[in-house]
Amino acid sequence: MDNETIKKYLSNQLSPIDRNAFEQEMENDPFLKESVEGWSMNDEQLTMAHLNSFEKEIHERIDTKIFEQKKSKVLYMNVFKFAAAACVFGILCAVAYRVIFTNKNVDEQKIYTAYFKPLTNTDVTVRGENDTTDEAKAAQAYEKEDYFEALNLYQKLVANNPNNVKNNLFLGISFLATNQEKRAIDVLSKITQSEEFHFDIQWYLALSYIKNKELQNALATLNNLTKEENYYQKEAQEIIDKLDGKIASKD
Amino acid sequence: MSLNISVYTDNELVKKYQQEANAMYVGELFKRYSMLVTGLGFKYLKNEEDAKDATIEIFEHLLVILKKTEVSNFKSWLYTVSKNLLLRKVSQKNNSLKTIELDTNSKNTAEKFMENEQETALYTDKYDSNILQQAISNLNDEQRTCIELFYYKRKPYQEVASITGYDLNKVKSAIQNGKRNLKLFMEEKQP
Repeated sequence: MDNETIKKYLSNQLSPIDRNAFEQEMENDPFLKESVEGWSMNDEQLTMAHLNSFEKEIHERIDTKIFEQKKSKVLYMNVFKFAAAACVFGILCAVAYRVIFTNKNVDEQKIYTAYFKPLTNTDVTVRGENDTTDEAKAAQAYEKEDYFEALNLYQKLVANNPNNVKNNLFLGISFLATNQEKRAIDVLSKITQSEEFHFDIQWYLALSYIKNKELQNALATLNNLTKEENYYQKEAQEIIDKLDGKIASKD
Repeated sequence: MSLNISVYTDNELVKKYQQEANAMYVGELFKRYSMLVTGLGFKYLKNEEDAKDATIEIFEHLLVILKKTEVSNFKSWLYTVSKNLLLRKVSQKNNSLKTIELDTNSKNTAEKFMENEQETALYTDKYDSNILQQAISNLNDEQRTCIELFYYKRKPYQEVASITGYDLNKVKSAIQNGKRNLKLFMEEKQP
Protein backbone atom coordinates (compact mmCIF):
# COMPACT_ATOMS: atom_id res chain seq x y z
CA MET A 1 0.00 0.00 0.00
CA ASP A 2 1.62 3.24 -1.10
CA ASN A 3 1.75 6.48 0.87
CA GLU A 4 -0.69 8.27 -1.48
CA THR A 5 -3.45 5.69 -0.99
CA ILE A 6 -2.89 5.70 2.74
CA LYS A 7 -3.20 9.49 2.83
CA LYS A 8 -6.35 9.37 0.69
CA TYR A 9 -7.88 6.78 2.99
CA LEU A 10 -6.98 8.73 6.11
CA SER A 11 -8.32 11.98 4.66
CA ASN A 12 -11.46 10.25 3.50
CA GLN A 13 -10.85 10.76 -0.20
CA LEU A 14 -11.39 7.22 -1.44
CA SER A 15 -14.58 6.02 -3.08
CA PRO A 16 -16.62 3.51 -1.06
CA ILE A 17 -15.39 0.66 -3.27
CA ASP A 18 -11.73 1.72 -2.93
CA ARG A 19 -12.24 2.26 0.75
CA ASN A 20 -13.52 -1.26 1.15
CA ALA A 21 -10.59 -2.60 -0.89
CA PHE A 22 -8.23 -0.69 1.40
CA GLU A 23 -9.95 -2.05 4.49
CA GLN A 24 -9.91 -5.59 3.15
CA GLU A 25 -6.20 -5.14 2.57
CA MET A 26 -5.95 -3.87 6.13
CA GLU A 27 -7.64 -7.03 7.43
CA ASN A 28 -4.84 -9.02 5.85
CA ASP A 29 -1.95 -6.70 6.56
CA PRO A 30 -1.18 -6.20 10.27
CA PHE A 31 1.34 -3.48 9.47
CA LEU A 32 -1.24 -1.43 7.59
CA LYS A 33 -3.92 -2.15 10.17
CA GLU A 34 -1.84 -1.08 13.14
CA SER A 35 -0.59 1.97 11.28
CA VAL A 36 -4.10 3.14 10.40
CA GLU A 37 -5.12 2.53 14.00
CA GLY A 38 -2.27 4.80 15.01
CA TRP A 39 -3.22 7.56 12.60
CA SER A 40 -6.86 7.27 13.67
CA MET A 41 -5.84 8.04 17.25
CA ASN A 42 -5.26 11.61 16.15
CA ASP A 43 -7.90 13.82 17.75
CA GLU A 44 -8.37 16.03 14.72
CA GLN A 45 -9.83 14.95 11.41
CA LEU A 46 -6.87 14.22 9.17
CA THR A 47 -6.75 16.35 6.05
CA MET A 48 -4.66 15.73 2.97
CA ALA A 49 -2.78 19.01 3.60
CA HIS A 50 -1.90 17.94 7.13
CA LEU A 51 -0.81 14.50 5.97
CA ASN A 52 1.24 15.96 3.13
CA SER A 53 3.08 18.33 5.43
CA PHE A 54 3.63 15.48 7.86
CA GLU A 55 5.05 13.28 5.12
CA LYS A 56 7.15 16.14 3.76
CA GLU A 57 8.69 16.79 7.16
CA ILE A 58 9.58 13.11 7.63
CA HIS A 59 11.09 12.90 4.15
CA GLU A 60 13.11 16.05 4.67
CA ARG A 61 14.48 14.69 7.92
CA ILE A 62 15.41 11.46 6.14
CA ASP A 63 17.16 13.45 3.41
CA THR A 64 19.07 15.37 6.07
CA LYS A 65 20.22 12.11 7.62
CA ILE A 66 21.33 10.83 4.22
CA PHE A 67 23.23 14.05 3.59
CA GLU A 68 24.84 13.87 7.04
CA GLN A 69 25.89 10.31 6.41
CA LYS A 70 27.39 11.19 3.05
CA LYS A 71 29.19 14.12 4.62
CA SER A 72 30.60 12.01 7.43
CA LYS A 73 31.60 9.40 4.88
CA VAL A 74 33.41 12.04 2.83
CA LEU A 75 34.97 13.40 6.01
CA TYR A 76 36.00 9.89 6.99
CA MET A 77 37.48 9.36 3.52
CA ASN A 78 39.29 12.69 3.76
CA VAL A 79 40.63 11.83 7.20
CA PHE A 80 41.65 8.45 5.86
CA LYS A 81 43.36 10.03 2.84
CA PHE A 82 45.05 12.58 5.10
CA ALA A 83 46.19 9.82 7.45
CA ALA A 84 47.51 7.81 4.52
CA ALA A 85 49.33 10.85 3.18
CA ALA A 86 50.73 11.54 6.64
CA CYS A 87 51.93 7.95 6.87
CA VAL A 88 53.64 8.16 3.49
CA PHE A 89 55.18 11.49 4.46
CA GLY A 90 56.32 10.02 7.78
CA ILE A 91 57.90 7.06 6.07
CA LEU A 92 59.65 9.35 3.58
CA CYS A 93 60.91 11.49 6.45
CA ALA A 94 62.18 8.42 8.27
CA VAL A 95 63.92 7.17 5.14
CA ALA A 96 65.38 10.61 4.49
CA TYR A 97 66.54 10.81 8.11
CA ARG A 98 68.25 7.49 7.82
CA VAL A 99 69.84 8.43 4.51
CA ILE A 100 71.01 11.80 5.76
CA PHE A 101 71.85 11.13 9.37
CA THR A 102 72.26 7.44 9.80
CA ASN A 103 73.49 6.41 6.44
CA LYS A 104 75.35 3.16 6.99
CA ASN A 105 78.11 4.16 4.55
CA VAL A 106 78.91 7.12 6.74
CA ASP A 107 78.92 5.06 9.92
CA GLU A 108 81.00 2.26 8.53
CA GLN A 109 83.43 4.66 6.97
CA LYS A 110 83.61 6.55 10.26
CA ILE A 111 84.37 3.41 12.20
CA TYR A 112 86.97 2.36 9.68
CA THR A 113 88.64 5.77 9.67
CA ALA A 114 88.60 5.96 13.45
CA TYR A 115 90.25 2.59 13.93
CA PHE A 116 92.45 2.01 10.87
CA LYS A 117 96.08 2.59 11.55
CA PRO A 118 98.65 0.74 9.42
CA LEU A 119 100.60 -1.87 11.26
CA THR A 120 104.20 -0.82 11.83
CA ASN A 121 106.51 -2.79 9.64
CA THR A 122 109.50 -3.61 11.86
CA ASP A 123 111.49 -4.88 8.90
CA VAL A 124 112.73 -1.38 8.18
CA THR A 125 114.21 -1.07 11.65
CA VAL A 126 115.54 -4.57 11.68
CA ARG A 127 116.95 -4.58 8.15
CA GLY A 128 118.13 -0.98 7.97
CA GLU A 129 117.62 1.38 5.08
CA ASN A 130 120.57 0.03 3.11
CA ASP A 131 118.97 -3.33 2.62
CA THR A 132 118.06 -3.53 -1.07
CA THR A 133 116.18 -6.80 -1.10
CA ASP A 134 112.66 -6.75 -2.45
CA GLU A 135 111.33 -7.43 1.01
CA ALA A 136 113.22 -4.46 2.41
CA LYS A 137 112.12 -2.21 -0.45
CA ALA A 138 108.51 -3.23 0.12
CA ALA A 139 108.81 -2.53 3.83
CA GLN A 140 110.39 0.85 3.15
CA ALA A 141 107.68 1.86 0.71
CA TYR A 142 105.10 0.72 3.24
CA GLU A 143 106.62 2.72 6.05
CA LYS A 144 106.84 5.78 3.80
CA GLU A 145 103.12 5.29 3.31
CA ASP A 146 103.69 4.75 -0.38
CA TYR A 147 101.14 1.96 -0.32
CA PHE A 148 100.77 1.64 -4.09
CA GLU A 149 104.49 0.97 -4.39
CA ALA A 150 104.31 -1.28 -1.32
CA LEU A 151 101.47 -3.41 -2.70
CA ASN A 152 103.25 -3.66 -6.03
CA LEU A 153 106.34 -5.05 -4.32
CA TYR A 154 104.41 -7.25 -1.88
CA GLN A 155 102.39 -8.73 -4.74
CA LYS A 156 105.64 -9.88 -6.37
CA LEU A 157 106.90 -11.29 -3.07
CA VAL A 158 103.64 -13.16 -2.46
CA ALA A 159 103.64 -14.45 -6.02
CA ASN A 160 107.09 -15.88 -5.38
CA ASN A 161 106.23 -17.22 -1.95
CA PRO A 162 102.49 -17.49 -1.36
CA ASN A 163 102.89 -19.02 2.09
CA ASN A 164 104.79 -16.11 3.57
CA VAL A 165 102.30 -14.85 6.14
CA LYS A 166 104.03 -11.55 6.85
CA ASN A 167 104.18 -10.52 3.20
CA ASN A 168 100.53 -11.50 2.75
CA LEU A 169 99.60 -9.46 5.80
CA PHE A 170 101.32 -6.31 4.58
CA LEU A 171 99.97 -6.85 1.09
CA GLY A 172 96.48 -7.00 2.62
CA ILE A 173 97.03 -3.86 4.66
CA SER A 174 98.41 -2.08 1.57
CA PHE A 175 95.30 -3.00 -0.35
CA LEU A 176 93.19 -1.69 2.51
CA ALA A 177 95.17 1.53 2.69
CA THR A 178 94.59 2.09 -1.02
CA ASN A 179 90.84 1.54 -0.69
CA GLN A 180 90.90 -1.91 -2.28
CA GLU A 181 89.08 -3.60 0.58
CA LYS A 182 87.78 -6.53 -1.47
CA ARG A 183 91.29 -7.49 -2.51
CA ALA A 184 92.41 -7.02 1.10
CA ILE A 185 89.73 -9.48 2.20
CA ASP A 186 90.84 -11.98 -0.44
CA VAL A 187 94.43 -11.86 0.78
CA LEU A 188 93.83 -11.72 4.53
CA SER A 189 91.08 -14.33 4.68
CA LYS A 190 93.55 -16.90 3.27
CA ILE A 191 95.91 -16.56 6.25
CA THR A 192 93.50 -16.41 9.17
CA GLN A 193 94.60 -19.82 10.44
CA SER A 194 98.16 -18.64 10.85
CA GLU A 195 99.51 -18.41 14.37
CA GLU A 196 102.07 -15.87 13.23
CA PHE A 197 100.53 -12.36 13.23
CA HIS A 198 97.29 -14.09 14.20
CA PHE A 199 95.60 -11.14 15.92
CA ASP A 200 96.93 -8.60 13.38
CA ILE A 201 95.44 -10.63 10.54
CA GLN A 202 92.07 -10.83 12.36
CA TRP A 203 92.10 -7.12 13.09
CA TYR A 204 92.85 -5.93 9.56
CA LEU A 205 90.48 -8.46 8.09
CA ALA A 206 87.74 -7.13 10.39
CA LEU A 207 88.49 -3.58 9.28
CA SER A 208 88.40 -4.72 5.64
CA TYR A 209 84.98 -6.25 6.23
CA ILE A 210 83.75 -3.00 7.83
CA LYS A 211 85.03 -0.93 4.94
CA ASN A 212 83.36 -3.38 2.56
CA LYS A 213 80.10 -3.16 4.60
CA GLU A 214 80.12 -6.85 5.45
CA LEU A 215 78.98 -6.23 9.02
CA GLN A 216 78.14 -9.80 10.02
CA ASN A 217 81.57 -11.02 8.89
CA ALA A 218 83.18 -8.07 10.66
CA LEU A 219 81.33 -8.93 13.89
CA ALA A 220 82.30 -12.58 13.71
CA THR A 221 85.94 -11.69 13.17
CA LEU A 222 85.92 -9.07 15.92
CA ASN A 223 84.29 -11.55 18.31
CA ASN A 224 87.26 -13.85 17.82
CA LEU A 225 89.52 -11.00 18.86
CA THR A 226 87.59 -10.36 22.07
CA LYS A 227 87.85 -13.97 23.25
CA GLU A 228 91.58 -13.88 23.96
CA GLU A 229 93.78 -11.25 25.48
CA ASN A 230 95.52 -9.28 22.73
CA TYR A 231 96.42 -5.80 21.62
CA TYR A 232 93.16 -5.28 19.73
CA GLN A 233 90.75 -6.78 22.30
CA LYS A 234 89.43 -3.52 23.73
CA GLU A 235 89.02 -1.76 20.41
CA ALA A 236 87.38 -4.84 18.91
CA GLN A 237 84.77 -4.73 21.69
CA GLU A 238 84.18 -1.02 21.10
CA ILE A 239 83.50 -1.62 17.43
CA ILE A 240 81.24 -4.58 18.25
CA ASP A 241 79.14 -2.34 20.51
CA LYS A 242 78.82 0.23 17.76
CA LEU A 243 77.97 -2.32 15.09
CA ASP A 244 75.46 -4.12 17.34
CA GLY A 245 73.59 -0.87 17.86
CA LYS A 246 73.62 -0.22 14.15
CA ILE A 247 72.39 -3.70 13.28
CA ALA A 248 69.66 -3.53 15.97
CA SER A 249 68.38 -0.18 14.65
CA LYS A 250 68.50 -1.60 11.13
CA ASP A 251 66.28 -4.55 12.22
CA MET B 1 24.19 11.82 -14.43
CA SER B 2 21.11 11.54 -12.22
CA LEU B 3 20.04 8.14 -11.10
CA ASN B 4 16.35 7.30 -10.94
CA ILE B 5 16.31 4.85 -8.08
CA SER B 6 12.54 4.89 -7.74
CA VAL B 7 12.37 2.23 -10.45
CA TYR B 8 14.12 -0.31 -8.24
CA THR B 9 12.13 -2.90 -6.35
CA ASP B 10 12.48 -3.16 -2.59
CA ASN B 11 14.81 -6.14 -2.85
CA GLU B 12 16.95 -4.41 -5.47
CA LEU B 13 17.35 -1.38 -3.22
CA VAL B 14 18.37 -3.60 -0.30
CA LYS B 15 20.96 -5.31 -2.47
CA LYS B 16 22.21 -2.01 -3.84
CA TYR B 17 22.65 -0.67 -0.32
CA GLN B 18 24.47 -3.78 0.80
CA GLN B 19 26.80 -3.52 -2.19
CA GLU B 20 27.43 0.22 -2.25
CA ALA B 21 26.63 1.34 1.32
CA ASN B 22 24.92 4.42 -0.10
CA ALA B 23 22.22 5.67 2.28
CA MET B 24 20.11 7.05 -0.54
CA TYR B 25 18.94 3.51 -1.36
CA VAL B 26 17.61 3.00 2.15
CA GLY B 27 16.17 6.51 2.00
CA GLU B 28 14.16 5.66 -1.10
CA LEU B 29 13.08 2.36 0.42
CA PHE B 30 12.08 3.84 3.74
CA LYS B 31 10.17 6.72 2.19
CA ARG B 32 7.92 4.18 0.47
CA TYR B 33 6.77 3.01 3.90
CA SER B 34 7.17 6.22 5.88
CA MET B 35 3.41 6.71 6.40
CA LEU B 36 3.07 3.16 7.66
CA VAL B 37 5.98 3.48 10.07
CA THR B 38 4.83 6.86 11.38
CA GLY B 39 1.31 5.52 11.93
CA LEU B 40 2.77 2.62 13.88
CA GLY B 41 4.74 5.13 15.92
CA PHE B 42 1.51 7.02 16.66
CA LYS B 43 -0.16 3.85 17.84
CA TYR B 44 2.54 2.93 20.33
CA LEU B 45 3.85 6.30 21.44
CA LYS B 46 0.55 8.18 21.28
CA ASN B 47 2.30 11.45 20.53
CA GLU B 48 2.97 13.23 17.24
CA GLU B 49 6.50 14.44 18.03
CA ASP B 50 7.55 11.12 19.56
CA ALA B 51 6.16 9.31 16.52
CA LYS B 52 8.17 11.52 14.15
CA ASP B 53 11.37 11.09 16.17
CA ALA B 54 10.85 7.34 16.36
CA THR B 55 10.37 7.19 12.59
CA ILE B 56 13.74 8.83 12.03
CA GLU B 57 15.30 6.61 14.67
CA ILE B 58 13.99 3.54 12.88
CA PHE B 59 15.46 4.86 9.63
CA GLU B 60 18.86 5.32 11.28
CA HIS B 61 18.58 1.84 12.76
CA LEU B 62 17.93 0.44 9.28
CA LEU B 63 21.06 2.11 7.93
CA VAL B 64 23.06 0.05 10.37
CA ILE B 65 21.35 -3.33 10.38
CA LEU B 66 20.45 -3.52 6.70
CA LYS B 67 24.12 -3.72 5.82
CA LYS B 68 24.38 -7.22 7.15
CA THR B 69 20.83 -8.55 7.27
CA GLU B 70 19.42 -10.83 4.64
CA VAL B 71 15.93 -9.60 3.87
CA SER B 72 13.51 -11.48 1.63
CA ASN B 73 10.35 -9.45 2.32
CA PHE B 74 11.31 -5.90 3.22
CA LYS B 75 7.85 -4.73 4.25
CA SER B 76 7.24 -7.53 6.74
CA TRP B 77 10.81 -7.22 8.01
CA LEU B 78 10.37 -3.47 8.46
CA TYR B 79 7.16 -4.12 10.41
CA THR B 80 8.98 -6.45 12.81
CA VAL B 81 11.97 -4.14 13.23
CA SER B 82 9.81 -1.04 13.70
CA LYS B 83 7.43 -2.69 16.14
CA ASN B 84 10.26 -4.06 18.24
CA LEU B 85 11.96 -0.71 18.42
CA LEU B 86 8.71 1.02 19.34
CA LEU B 87 7.86 -1.59 21.98
CA ARG B 88 11.31 -1.16 23.43
CA LYS B 89 10.73 2.58 23.63
CA VAL B 90 7.37 2.02 25.31
CA SER B 91 9.01 -0.40 27.75
CA GLN B 92 11.68 2.12 28.57
CA LYS B 93 9.00 4.71 29.06
CA ASN B 94 6.95 2.47 31.29
CA ASN B 95 10.04 1.10 32.97
CA SER B 96 8.98 -2.41 32.18
CA LEU B 97 10.40 -5.06 29.94
CA LYS B 98 7.61 -5.67 27.48
CA THR B 99 9.32 -6.67 24.26
CA ILE B 100 8.62 -9.20 21.62
CA GLU B 101 11.24 -11.48 20.26
CA LEU B 102 13.10 -9.94 17.37
CA ASP B 103 13.12 -12.23 14.42
CA THR B 104 15.85 -10.90 12.18
CA ASN B 105 14.85 -13.08 9.27
CA SER B 106 11.27 -11.91 9.59
CA LYS B 107 10.15 -15.46 8.99
CA ASN B 108 7.35 -15.35 11.54
CA THR B 109 6.01 -12.08 10.23
CA ALA B 110 6.33 -13.24 6.66
CA GLU B 111 4.42 -16.38 7.55
CA LYS B 112 1.69 -14.28 9.17
CA PHE B 113 1.41 -12.29 5.97
CA MET B 114 1.08 -15.50 4.02
CA GLU B 115 -1.58 -16.80 6.38
CA ASN B 116 -3.49 -13.60 5.87
CA GLU B 117 -3.30 -14.08 2.14
CA GLN B 118 -4.87 -17.50 2.63
CA GLU B 119 -7.62 -15.91 4.68
CA THR B 120 -8.32 -13.55 1.83
CA ALA B 121 -8.73 -16.50 -0.41
CA LEU B 122 -11.49 -17.80 1.82
CA TYR B 123 -13.71 -14.95 0.75
CA THR B 124 -13.23 -15.08 -2.97
CA ASP B 125 -15.79 -16.65 -5.31
CA LYS B 126 -13.32 -19.37 -6.10
CA TYR B 127 -13.58 -20.70 -2.58
CA ASP B 128 -17.25 -19.96 -2.14
CA SER B 129 -18.10 -23.52 -1.42
CA ASN B 130 -20.98 -25.03 0.49
CA ILE B 131 -18.76 -25.41 3.49
CA LEU B 132 -18.01 -21.72 3.47
CA GLN B 133 -21.72 -20.99 3.20
CA GLN B 134 -22.33 -23.31 6.13
CA ALA B 135 -19.57 -21.56 8.07
CA ILE B 136 -21.11 -18.15 7.42
CA SER B 137 -24.60 -19.26 8.36
CA ASN B 138 -23.10 -20.69 11.52
CA LEU B 139 -21.90 -17.24 12.64
CA ASN B 140 -23.96 -15.12 14.98
CA ASP B 141 -26.11 -12.42 13.38
CA GLU B 142 -23.76 -9.59 14.18
CA GLN B 143 -20.69 -11.28 12.70
CA ARG B 144 -22.56 -12.71 9.70
CA THR B 145 -24.02 -9.33 8.75
CA CYS B 146 -20.73 -7.53 9.06
CA ILE B 147 -18.83 -10.23 7.14
CA GLU B 148 -21.35 -10.25 4.32
CA LEU B 149 -21.45 -6.48 4.04
CA PHE B 150 -17.70 -6.13 4.24
CA TYR B 151 -16.58 -9.02 2.00
CA TYR B 152 -19.51 -9.66 -0.33
CA LYS B 153 -21.11 -6.24 -0.65
CA ARG B 154 -17.66 -4.61 -0.37
CA LYS B 155 -18.82 -1.90 2.01
CA PRO B 156 -16.25 0.08 3.97
CA TYR B 157 -16.31 -0.10 7.80
CA GLN B 158 -18.10 3.19 8.13
CA GLU B 159 -20.85 2.16 5.76
CA VAL B 160 -21.23 -1.20 7.49
CA ALA B 161 -21.59 0.74 10.71
CA SER B 162 -24.24 3.03 9.16
CA ILE B 163 -26.22 0.14 7.69
CA THR B 164 -26.12 -2.02 10.82
CA GLY B 165 -26.27 0.77 13.36
CA TYR B 166 -23.25 -0.70 15.17
CA ASP B 167 -20.46 1.61 16.19
CA LEU B 168 -17.23 1.46 14.16
CA ASN B 169 -15.26 -0.52 16.72
CA LYS B 170 -18.00 -3.07 17.00
CA VAL B 171 -17.97 -3.52 13.20
CA LYS B 172 -14.21 -4.06 13.16
CA SER B 173 -14.40 -6.44 16.06
CA ALA B 174 -17.29 -8.39 14.48
CA ILE B 175 -15.35 -8.76 11.22
CA GLN B 176 -12.24 -9.92 13.04
CA ASN B 177 -14.06 -12.40 15.28
CA GLY B 178 -16.21 -13.58 12.37
CA LYS B 179 -13.10 -14.27 10.33
CA ARG B 180 -11.59 -16.28 13.16
CA ASN B 181 -14.76 -18.34 13.60
CA LEU B 182 -14.95 -19.00 9.86
CA LYS B 183 -11.41 -20.22 9.88
CA LEU B 184 -12.04 -22.55 12.81
CA PHE B 185 -15.16 -23.93 11.16
CA MET B 186 -13.38 -24.49 7.83
CA GLU B 187 -10.45 -26.23 9.52
CA GLU B 188 -12.86 -28.48 11.35
CA LYS B 189 -14.77 -29.44 8.22
CA GLN B 190 -11.82 -29.47 5.82
CA PRO B 191 -8.84 -30.70 7.85
